[in-house]
Amino acid sequence: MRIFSRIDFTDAESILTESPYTMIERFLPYIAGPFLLIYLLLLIGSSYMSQQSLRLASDNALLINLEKRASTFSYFHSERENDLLNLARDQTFSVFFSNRSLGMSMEYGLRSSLLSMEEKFQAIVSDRTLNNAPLYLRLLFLEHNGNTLIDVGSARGRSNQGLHKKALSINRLTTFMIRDGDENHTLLILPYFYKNKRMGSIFAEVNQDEVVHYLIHNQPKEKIQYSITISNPAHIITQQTPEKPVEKNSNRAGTGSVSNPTTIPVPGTPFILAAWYSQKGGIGIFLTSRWYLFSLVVLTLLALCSIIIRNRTRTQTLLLRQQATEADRQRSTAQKKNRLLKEEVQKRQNSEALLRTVLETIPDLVWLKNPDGVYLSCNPKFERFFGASQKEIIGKTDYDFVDKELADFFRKHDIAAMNAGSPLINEESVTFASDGHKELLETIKSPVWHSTGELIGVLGIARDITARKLAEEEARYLSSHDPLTGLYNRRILENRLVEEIERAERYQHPLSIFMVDLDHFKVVNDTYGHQNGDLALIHLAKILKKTIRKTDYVARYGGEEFVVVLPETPLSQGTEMAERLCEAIRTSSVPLANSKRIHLTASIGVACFPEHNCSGEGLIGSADAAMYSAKLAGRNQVKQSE
Amino acid sequence: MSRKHFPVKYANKPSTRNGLFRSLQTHFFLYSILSLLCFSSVSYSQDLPEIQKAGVLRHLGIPYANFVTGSGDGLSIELIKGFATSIGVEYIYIASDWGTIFGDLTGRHARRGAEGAILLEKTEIRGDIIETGMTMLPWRRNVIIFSEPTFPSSVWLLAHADANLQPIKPSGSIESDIIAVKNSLNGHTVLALKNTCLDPFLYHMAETKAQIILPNDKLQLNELAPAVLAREAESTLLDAPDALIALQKWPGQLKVIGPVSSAQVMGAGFRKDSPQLLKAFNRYLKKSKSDGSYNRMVKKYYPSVFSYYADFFKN
Repeated sequence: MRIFSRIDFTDAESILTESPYTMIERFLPYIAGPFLLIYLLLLIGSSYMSQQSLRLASDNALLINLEKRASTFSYFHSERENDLLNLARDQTFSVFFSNRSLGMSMEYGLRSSLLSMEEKFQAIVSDRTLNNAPLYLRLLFLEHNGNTLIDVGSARGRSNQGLHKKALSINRLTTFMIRDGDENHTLLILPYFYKNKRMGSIFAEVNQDEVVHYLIHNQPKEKIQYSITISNPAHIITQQTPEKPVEKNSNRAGTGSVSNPTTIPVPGTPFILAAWYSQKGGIGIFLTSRWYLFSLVVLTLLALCSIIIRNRTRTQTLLLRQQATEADRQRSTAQKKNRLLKEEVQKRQNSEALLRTVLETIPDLVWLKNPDGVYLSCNPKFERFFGASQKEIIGKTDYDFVDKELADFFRKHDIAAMNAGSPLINEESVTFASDGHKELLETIKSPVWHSTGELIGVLGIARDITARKLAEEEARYLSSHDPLTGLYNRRILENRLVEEIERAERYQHPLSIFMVDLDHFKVVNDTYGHQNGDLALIHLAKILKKTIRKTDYVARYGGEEFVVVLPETPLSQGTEMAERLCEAIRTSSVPLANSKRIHLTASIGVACFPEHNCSGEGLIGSADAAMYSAKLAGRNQVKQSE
Repeated sequence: MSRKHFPVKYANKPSTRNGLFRSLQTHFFLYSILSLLCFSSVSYSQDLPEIQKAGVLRHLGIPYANFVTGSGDGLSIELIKGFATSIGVEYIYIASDWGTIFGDLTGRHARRGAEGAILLEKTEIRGDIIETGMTMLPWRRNVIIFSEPTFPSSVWLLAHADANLQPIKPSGSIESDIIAVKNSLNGHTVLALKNTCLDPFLYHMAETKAQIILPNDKLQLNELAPAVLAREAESTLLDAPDALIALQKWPGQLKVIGPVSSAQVMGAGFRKDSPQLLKAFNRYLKKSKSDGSYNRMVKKYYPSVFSYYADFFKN
């Protein structure tokens, strides 16, 4: 039912339109199953009947074979008994024991008869062979007191302890079985009497394995296996391994599976002969066993299963094909993505390499620390700062390379940048550990965030701004000072003068200014050159700086004109200070480039706030006008503004 | 001068010399011719070249144990037959006895004297080699030369099983055992044979106070054991090989009391003027021993002796 339930009737129209061949191919697997099952059931039934008949015939054949071999073995065993009986009847025995009873010694005569006995023993061992293998492994004469008199054969010299005890327990020819490891041997023991006195026993150890192999298994391809056991367990002598079974399976090629054995006693012996059909190999044995029927049943089930599996397999095959197609498509897509990914990776690697090159090339210091201040990376410029390699720096903190104060400074700014969440700029003057030089660095510390929002650490970039700072300082200086004399320039003068006037006005304080102009400065330039003219101006600037107070300041107003601003100075005091200045100029000589010295004079105009003017520009104009008055008055003098 | 020999392999010696004389009286003419042939041969050397020239080797033997069984075979007969074949001549057996065997070989009779051998009257040379289990005794070496030893021997005292003589307990010393045997013989009867290896004189048997019985000359060595069984004496001197044969023949009826002599050896005897023949025999004997043929012969006739004296027969 499960088979038919697998038929898909949903697509009935497609079935009706199929060709007959296609329909047969479609439905054959479902109708073949029941026919095959019936066929195999019939085959099982007929095989069972045939097996029963064959088994009965085989049992009969086995019994016949068993009887035949039992008869053969019985005859063989009686021959061995006759060997011992004939040996005991040999005259050499009576000669030896009679000579010994007469008191003869081994040295004089007795040894001869003993040697004769031994030769008889040896002759039997040598003569009795079975397919070139010795039949007797050992022939032994043990005296009644346990003394070994004769011991011949390949097994001679073994311990006689167990044998002697067995011999003492019997009074007639008796058969035993010796278990010696994997081998079993037959042992015949015959008590020997001389003049009705027991002198000892003759032991004959027969190679039972050879006997069984050659007398019973005389047909190499025979399928029947035989084994010999002894009926009386008391007649078993174990010499080595007692844990092994007593029975000796004579099948030398291996036991294989064992069917129920058939046993019969061997006539005239204590042995039991068992036989069974060898289950090893042979298709005939298999065909007659129940395994054959079982195999047919299994075969039937396998056939049904295979039909079911085949149908399922077809469906699954289609599904698998679709899956394979889809897998191919996905694989193609994946390969494309993979290619793109590889390109992206290559790009990133190139970018990383480029970035690494940039980082290694740029003159700036670049580093990356984690939130705990531990270095994660740095560039070569930074290595020079710490005087250590990147390998030595990574994993360490600033405290491992600089003093605690500087390290605290770095750490403070790192934390500030992380807390701020935006770049922080600061300037730091640092000393490079690699060569000890100092640089003023402009450091930008930016917190770095992972795409997940996790803080990675602080990225630091520091640029050397020492030169830039110097240039700025110079520009700043030049914007407010005269480059020749180092005094404030006119722009600063005007700005500060406005500031000073505003303060003087705010506090109601006086303010005085000087306008100083060198006399005949054009003559100096023309006579001594502009270089010496400049020296003259520089000299005048020094006198001005030296003469004025700390609260005063002086500026070069233009050419050879200078302005001195004197806060909180009334006109009178300013005029006095101008006089002292004029005097200082007049009395001072100017050193020229050619080591000559010349004397110069200056004309000074003085103006005061608020008397002369209340604006800076106006105040300068007043002072300038006063200075022109002094020029006009003959130079080398001081004039107050009108 | 060539001599004609009849190609018979076994010829009985004339029973007595009287018979020979009667034959001469009857056939005087024939006797004269034979006498001329035989006596003339005495004066000629009979060494290997002459024997090979004659084409016949004459083997002198006495029925004794299994050396010469008296039935046409024996160890000695097989040995000398083989020797004859080896030198390329025919074999002929000449029966002799212990009283005349030396004269049959050398042309002059000899017997043991008190101090060595006594040479007696001349006689016809009838053979070329003695091989009959002859023991190499000192006085015999005065008469003939012996080959390399062929067989071991010694003289034992063999007694009837019922005799009032007990086998000695071996002491480990052959000399002590001999003394023990002799000391036990006081008053007991002992058979012996003069002029043989069982000559009582050789073993100073007179000192034992035993009653030495010397049977007449007709008694053979192999008849001594039966004589003991016949109660003609309690015991007899007998060489060891013969004693071992006797023990097998009559088990339980005889017993060995002990040794009378130390170890002896037997060998083949040659005329002193036959050194080449002796050398050829020794060469043949050595070859037989080396190829195992000699041991096979010994095993055939003396199986028990072969085992008993296994050391002697080792190659």
